[in-house]
Amino acid sequence: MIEKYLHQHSLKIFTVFWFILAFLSQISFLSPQIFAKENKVVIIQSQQIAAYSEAIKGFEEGCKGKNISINAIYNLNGDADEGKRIIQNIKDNEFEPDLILAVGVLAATLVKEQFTDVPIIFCMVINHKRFNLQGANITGISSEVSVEDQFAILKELLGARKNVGVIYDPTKTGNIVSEAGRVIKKLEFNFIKKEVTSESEVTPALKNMIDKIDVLWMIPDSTVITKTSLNAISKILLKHHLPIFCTSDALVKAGALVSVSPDYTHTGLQAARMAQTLLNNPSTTSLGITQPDKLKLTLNTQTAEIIGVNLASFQSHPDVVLYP
Amino acid sequence: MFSLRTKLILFMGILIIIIGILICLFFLIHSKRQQEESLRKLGTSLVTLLAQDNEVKHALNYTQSAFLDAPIKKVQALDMEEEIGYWRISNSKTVMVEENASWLNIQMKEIPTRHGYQSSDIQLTHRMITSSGETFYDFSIPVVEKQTFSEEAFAAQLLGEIPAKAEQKILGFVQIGLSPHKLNERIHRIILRSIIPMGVCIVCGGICITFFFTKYFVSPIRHMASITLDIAKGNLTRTVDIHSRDEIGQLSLSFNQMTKALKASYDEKEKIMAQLRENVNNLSNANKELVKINEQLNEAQERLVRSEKLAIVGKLASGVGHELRNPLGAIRNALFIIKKKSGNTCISNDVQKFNKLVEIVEKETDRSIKIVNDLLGFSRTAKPTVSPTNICSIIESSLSRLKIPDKINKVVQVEDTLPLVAVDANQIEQVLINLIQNALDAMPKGGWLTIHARRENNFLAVTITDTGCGIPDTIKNKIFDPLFTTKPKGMGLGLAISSNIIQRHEGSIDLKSTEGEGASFTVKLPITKT
Repeated sequence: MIEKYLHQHSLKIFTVFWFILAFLSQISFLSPQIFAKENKVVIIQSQQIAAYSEAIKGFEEGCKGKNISINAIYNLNGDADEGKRIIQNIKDNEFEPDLILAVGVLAATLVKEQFTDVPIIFCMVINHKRFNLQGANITGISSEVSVEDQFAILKELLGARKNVGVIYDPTKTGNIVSEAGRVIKKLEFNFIKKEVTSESEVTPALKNMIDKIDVLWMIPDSTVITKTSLNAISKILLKHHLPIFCTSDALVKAGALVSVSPDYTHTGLQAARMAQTLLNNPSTTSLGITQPDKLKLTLNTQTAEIIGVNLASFQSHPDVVLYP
Repeated sequence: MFSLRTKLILFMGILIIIIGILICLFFLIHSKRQQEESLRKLGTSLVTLLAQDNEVKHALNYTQSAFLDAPIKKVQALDMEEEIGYWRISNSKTVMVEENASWLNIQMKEIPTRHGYQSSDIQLTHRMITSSGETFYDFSIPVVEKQTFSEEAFAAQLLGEIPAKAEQKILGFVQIGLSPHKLNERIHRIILRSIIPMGVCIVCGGICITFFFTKYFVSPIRHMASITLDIAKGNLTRTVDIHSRDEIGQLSLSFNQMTKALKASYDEKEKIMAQLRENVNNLSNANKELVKINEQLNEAQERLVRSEKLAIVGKLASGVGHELRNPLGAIRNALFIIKKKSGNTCISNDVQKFNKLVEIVEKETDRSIKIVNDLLGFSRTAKPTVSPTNICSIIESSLSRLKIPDKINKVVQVEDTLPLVAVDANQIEQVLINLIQNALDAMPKGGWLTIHARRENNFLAVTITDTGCGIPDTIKNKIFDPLFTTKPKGMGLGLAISSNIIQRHEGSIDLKSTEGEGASFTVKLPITKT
């Protein structure tokens, strides 16, 4: 039967193979250097946490068969001093990487300071705009979902409710709130903002605004989100049967209703693609900062049950993670 | 007591002093707090620097004191003003370094060692006082293992990895004590260089401003007071020349209006007073005239009364004289015949006795005739027949007709160039005889009789003065009345006749007498105009 099949289509198979061989020969002729040299990449992560590991794993997978070899993965252990020392050591070595992947804010900021002529890709940096991670040799993947995407989901979640509350430290997340202000007008939401400068002001600010809001939007603000404040915020919101909308699945686990966040593995894959682009085009040193390709929606069904929100429509979304 | 300006200066001065003191106090407290805050910052910086030093962490981790020298020297180098009193670095096992500054004499065991703090917050103990009386600001801070970069910790929290605040291992403690002696010096310097000069400037400046302000404020009032004084003295033309728009200006305006009204009222009063004075003068003049008229009336009345009296007396004297003179003449004639015939017929023993009786009858008859003649003379006093006469001759004639006793001294003073007077010489002589006789009668025991003739304006005055018993005031007005006499044998007609004669000569007769010292009668006769 196979022989019969080959006999009948031998001409077609031959033609296809011929074209494939011609194409491959063309490629090998046009870009001999790609195949000639293997690109060396160094990964520097701020600390050893699962999210960073997922991203690195994605990157590694993305680099496979792409003529990219990952020479070393450095861990800064979350210590600025140690991080500086490690990076200084990397710099002092005779080996010079073709590209550096910085995972996390500490790694990104230190690498940016020390390497000015090596292309750098950073990822997993929360609120990257705060740290001025821009430069001719810097490419990045934002860890925040765009405000438009977030509010599109929020609109679906709120239905008729329009009052969105946010508590923020203007020195840290003022940029996010001002950007949201512009978006929110288009979507006809009422924005109720409370500025705080310390953790102790968070609970009074929330109590002050709790009767005026339909949902609390929690942005990644280190003044607002602490272990203590998070517990207090969750309790107050649950007591008033109000949902928390955020960008961290960890907060959903801690009691928030829903979060929209990047898929960390896909972030790594996205970084690998960008690395490939940069390495294949030596004249291009930066691709700018891009949004994550793939998002995941994390829902807390227990919270939804307590505050009486129907999540049926969300459950049909792709890439939904339900907790618990 | 005190002037308004003094009171204002005193009040404002006290107020400014209080404000100055309060400002200085506020500044002092503020400066002290600032200095304490800077000391606190210094202490916090130094202790933090030491606690975060990797060498210190290493030394504490492995209990190696040798690594501590360099960090301590680094901290000491930063302590420019030598404010560090002591320092102590210890781990859980032992106190590794414990020293105090060389200039400080304290026992380190007095400083409590920090143990077991689970918080990394800096503890600041104010005014830790040792037994030697030294005061310190104590700073203690735990030395912890290397911390995770805060943003990474936050990322880990958001990404669901580890708790927000991981408990960190405390390796040991760093303790630094700062002495406030430099702080006190600085505060003293601030007090001396800033606060005291500032206070003095505030007080002096304030008092100077108050001085000028009160001068400005009080000078219009003083000006008004001086003007008021002038006005009180009667100078109503003064006005206050202040044109400000404040209350003083309003007061001066009102004051000027009041002065104007006062002046109008004063002028009106003066006008009325002038009229009153004129009326009073008129009344006074009228009164004087009335008094004069009254006196004239009284005189006329007296003259009238006297004339009436004289007329009555004259009439009576005339009747009595006529009726008595003829019988008295017949008696006298009869006596003459009796006397003649008795000389021839009577017995010689009885002749003497008879003659004596006849003489008595004759003498008394003569006297009665004289009285009757006087009465007739009084009643018949006729209009004088005047002719220019030398008064001197009248005086001499009068004196010659009188017998002046030896015990009476006579003085006659007649001015040389006396003019002649138009008088009836007999009548004037009668007057002078009456007056001289009265003077002689007043001096029974002797004395001085002075006759003085002189010219007084248009009159010729003859004064007859005696040193007798004088005339009492009670009878001075009556002595010129007819029939008034103080003599036991007098008729009381002499002075009345004299006064009558002088009046007829348009002259006057005046009396001056003091009882017991004598009397003085002055006869004034008009001098004939030639």
